[in-house]
Amino acid sequence: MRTVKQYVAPKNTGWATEIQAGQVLRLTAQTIIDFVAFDLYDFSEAFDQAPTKEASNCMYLKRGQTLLSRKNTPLMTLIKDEFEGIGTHDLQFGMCGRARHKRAAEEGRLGEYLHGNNMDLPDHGCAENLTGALEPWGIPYENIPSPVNFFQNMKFNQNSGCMERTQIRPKRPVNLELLAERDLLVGFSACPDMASKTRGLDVTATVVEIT
Amino acid sequence: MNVINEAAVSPQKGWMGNVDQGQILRISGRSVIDFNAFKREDIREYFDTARTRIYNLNMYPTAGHRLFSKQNNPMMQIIEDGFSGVGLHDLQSGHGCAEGMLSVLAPLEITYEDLPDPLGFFRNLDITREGRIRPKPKGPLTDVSIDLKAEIDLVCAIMNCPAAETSASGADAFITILQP
Repeated sequence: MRTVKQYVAPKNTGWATEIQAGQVLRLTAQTIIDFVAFDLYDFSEAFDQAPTKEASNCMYLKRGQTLLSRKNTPLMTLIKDEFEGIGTHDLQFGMCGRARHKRAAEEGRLGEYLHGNNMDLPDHGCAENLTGALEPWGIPYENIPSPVNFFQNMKFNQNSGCMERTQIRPKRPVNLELLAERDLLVGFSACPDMASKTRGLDVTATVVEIT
Repeated sequence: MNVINEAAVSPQKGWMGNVDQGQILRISGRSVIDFNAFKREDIREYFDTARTRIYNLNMYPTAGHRLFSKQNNPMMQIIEDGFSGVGLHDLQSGHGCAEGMLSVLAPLEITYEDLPDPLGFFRNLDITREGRIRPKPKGPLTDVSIDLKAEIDLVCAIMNCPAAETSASGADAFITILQP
């Protein structure tokens, strides 16, 4: 395997890059990653949580499953998942960010959302990080889909539907590998992960070519 | 309450209309109804399934829950849910009739890329402990209603969309807009 490019995203920043069909994006992290993908030549073919879940009949993203666009176009397949057996990747939540933190604080629900009522909240989060990262491609916030939230483990009550965040994360950096099914624009945010014990860490992204 | 507007919506047909702040949108029926809502003064602000799940910390919308926009603002509150105890509304699936919803929304010039995922009223789902999602056709046997109170001025849209696997009836749906 040949490394095409590598980037280390510091905590609470974003990054976007173009990758070619057949290349593999390896994400190495132990913190939440908010991740989106678009067809490189048609940004309306954006990742969409709902068709992805409908195709897999599963509310989590698991190894072997494919990220689909709103029009059911395959974008990427999760081919390696070292979080498997430790926790699950989320397809329920949106993005954290200034507006969300502000509302949670106003409603007095920071504890419920983020495991702690007294914390210094960052002035930005995944919404701002992804908006900034995708800005060079002219994609505005409202066209950035709700992401795959890698390493965002949650519990839910089957009967009531109530969802609860957990603090389960990898104990050391682990790898995810996503195979590009077509030429893509991908973007991610190294989430400030205010619900975790670490409150966010770096994320390493590596694009590799299988030779 | 005064009735401001009423409409019957045949299977595979849709409806779009204004609902003013404070008014109540009543949706009645017994087949699956896909629902979208947009802030009237700026349709780039739209009902969003993920924000709705996270603010309610719940996967199954019902009475007392609010619908939130992509921009994290409240849009509507569910004040009555006649499906409660019968089945669950769906915040997981995509559009059953996307093309139909796009033609309903044509006056807003909403394209496929701008079409948000819907709330699927009366589309019962079973989600197992392991996270497996199973459609569980279990529409109401008689017409039931869900009442949503608008917290801002909105454009709302529905598709009466009896997807083959979940359709109990293919019956008409009914829209009523009420002014308290």
